[in-house]
Amino acid sequence: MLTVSHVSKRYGDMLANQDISFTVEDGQIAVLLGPNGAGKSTIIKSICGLLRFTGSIEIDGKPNKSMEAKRLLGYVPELPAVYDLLTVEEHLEFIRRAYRMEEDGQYAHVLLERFELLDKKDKLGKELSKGMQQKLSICCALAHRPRVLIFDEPMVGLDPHAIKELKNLFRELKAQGCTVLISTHMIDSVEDYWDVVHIMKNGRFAASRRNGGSENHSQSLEELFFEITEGGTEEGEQA
Amino acid sequence: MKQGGALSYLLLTKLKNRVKSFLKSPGKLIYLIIVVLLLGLVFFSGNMGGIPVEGYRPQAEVTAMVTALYAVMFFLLVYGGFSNGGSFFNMPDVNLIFPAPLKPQHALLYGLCQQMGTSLMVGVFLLFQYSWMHQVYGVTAAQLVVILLGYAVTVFLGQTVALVLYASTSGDEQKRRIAQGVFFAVLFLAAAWVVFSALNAPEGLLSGAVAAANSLPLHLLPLAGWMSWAAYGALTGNLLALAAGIVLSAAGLVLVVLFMTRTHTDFYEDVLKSAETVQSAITARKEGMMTEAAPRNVKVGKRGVRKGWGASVFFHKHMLEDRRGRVFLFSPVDLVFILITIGFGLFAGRAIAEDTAVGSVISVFAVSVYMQIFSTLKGSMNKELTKPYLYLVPEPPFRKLLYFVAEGLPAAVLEAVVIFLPLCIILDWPVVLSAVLMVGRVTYSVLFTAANLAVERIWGGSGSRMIVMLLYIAIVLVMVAPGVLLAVVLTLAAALPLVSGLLILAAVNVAVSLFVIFLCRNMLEVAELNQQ
Repeated sequence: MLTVSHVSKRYGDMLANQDISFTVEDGQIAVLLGPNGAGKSTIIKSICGLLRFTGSIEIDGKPNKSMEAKRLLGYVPELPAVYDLLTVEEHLEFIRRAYRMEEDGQYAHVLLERFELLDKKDKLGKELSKGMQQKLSICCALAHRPRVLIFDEPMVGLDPHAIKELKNLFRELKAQGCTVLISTHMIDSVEDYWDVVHIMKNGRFAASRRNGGSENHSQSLEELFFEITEGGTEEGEQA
Repeated sequence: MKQGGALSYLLLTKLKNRVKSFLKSPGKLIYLIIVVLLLGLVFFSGNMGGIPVEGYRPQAEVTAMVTALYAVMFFLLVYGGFSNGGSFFNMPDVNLIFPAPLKPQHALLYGLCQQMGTSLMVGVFLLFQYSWMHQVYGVTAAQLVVILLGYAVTVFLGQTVALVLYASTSGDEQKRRIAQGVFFAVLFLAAAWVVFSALNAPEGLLSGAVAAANSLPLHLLPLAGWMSWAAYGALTGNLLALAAGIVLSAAGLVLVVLFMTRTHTDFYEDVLKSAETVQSAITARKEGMMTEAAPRNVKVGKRGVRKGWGASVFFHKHMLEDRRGRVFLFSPVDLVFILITIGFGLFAGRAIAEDTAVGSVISVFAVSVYMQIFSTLKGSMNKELTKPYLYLVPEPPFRKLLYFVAEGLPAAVLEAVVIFLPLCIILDWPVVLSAVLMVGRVTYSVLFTAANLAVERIWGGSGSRMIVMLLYIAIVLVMVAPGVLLAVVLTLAAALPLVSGLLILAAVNVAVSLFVIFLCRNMLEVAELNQQ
């Protein structure tokens, strides 16, 4: 479970995140939607412990910067985090060793096969296309079997097959009881599998919606998104 | 507007705006003032001592060092031409000039003019050698400027040849192999000549090598030797050598450029890749990220990280990346610094006897550490700090930082051995002393790395490079002070031998470094890893 409580993040005079609070339960997929500059990546990075912030963030009840929380967390950054001089396979070996995974690397093999990287396992990071680097980034985030996964714009640069696989992965993680948080500005990419969506604008949550919730909303997600981001209105309710 | 007018307008406007932006930047102005003050200090201190009692050392050693410096830089640059076409053009040039109705030859001239200024800046570190060069060899300021100009022209020539080589061989593997064969053959012949002369010289190894470096065969080496011939002539007052070197170098440059423009009018594609690489690095730096300087062709070698568990895996991963990323063990700049240190040690530290050794040894050690400040300023370690793994991996932050700092140890040890082992052998220094000097230098490497960490912790690593540099130098000065003070005080107070003083220095350096690393451990918990 992921709990974010009254998190704010300021860069000089600019308030990138303002009093953000939300919870993502086990087995739930939450989506952060919003235009560029809304503050999605900022809250994502704060959750992953990569930024200073005010407020509190807990992963399974533990502060997000504690060792225990880091063991549970998997993070897929917006820009692929691959090493130019390590091969695909070595990236996963590095993760396995860094996270002290005693297993023999079989799971890494499965991941590479799933994301069609197995035939490229001996390729260096710098030899991969951007899409392949993104897939490798995803594999690195999954390699230590985290319970809470954070994806920042995960579909950018992926081909249709990889997008389909990623969506399947989201459903599987949900079925396994993992907590998934996805940040994106591509509405149609999340239509099929979201449980909770938070629409961000100007560093705050402008609207929140539960999928199949009891609220009587006549608008589609897309209509709500454009109404908020273009029309300047906010629903003012939190999930 | 004429074609030449358009490009000269571009050159002049860029120069004018660069000067304007420099004058508007307080950080850059402060940095310039500090550099000028430091230079002034170097020149002032160099002029303080009179002529040495035993007289200046032979001028031939200076000209030999100059030849070695020019040759090493030229060959390293030309070798680089086999893999990339250098940095004559950047992406705006590629996007605006190349598609424009401008003659490629004019574009090439524009690129060469643009590069000349950079080549001159690259050699400024030579001016900081004035103090010891004047005191030992009587080199004047004017002569040092001549050496600098010759160095700049050599670098410029090297880059031009690299560009021509790249354009000529990039699409043709056979041509590349032939060109590489010729390159290594020339290099081998030059080295063989020096070694043969040194071994057969009746006056000894060093004198023989000096004589070989000043000999006609080396001065006749195409391009690499001609500029050193001109410098030799300028330094010794030999007008014939000066004229010959200048005429040959100028003719060589014209020939190279003519070859380029007559046979490769379509060189645009050849420079596109290197321009794109440079642009990626610039964009990444602007976004607060570092790109890795991976060479174009990487030998993967043994696969697998193979070692490391938890925090230590970062160390072993880095070793793997180092193995793959290095064509040479040292960068060209590192190599130049090493050569300067060895050169200083060989020629300025010759007088070694038990009771006169101290000053010479300390001065050689000080020069080697002084060079290290510049070489460790480049901040190549920072690339790991821009990836999320160092922050995400659930290990104690102090342990992670220790392994992170340890990544630089193998190179530091190798550098120390490369510098002090030849000095130990040639100058017949005591083995224990040489070992302690190596240890001392390695501890300074750790200290400078810790200083870089402190800069990251305090400043965050992105933003004005000038301020980062100033902060780094300030932190270095604070960190080296305890070791130097304690070593000097204890050595003098207890009349300790030099080795003991150096060991105290090394121990304090390690303690200070560990303390600073410990203070910085939270940087992994409060990282500001953003692209804003």
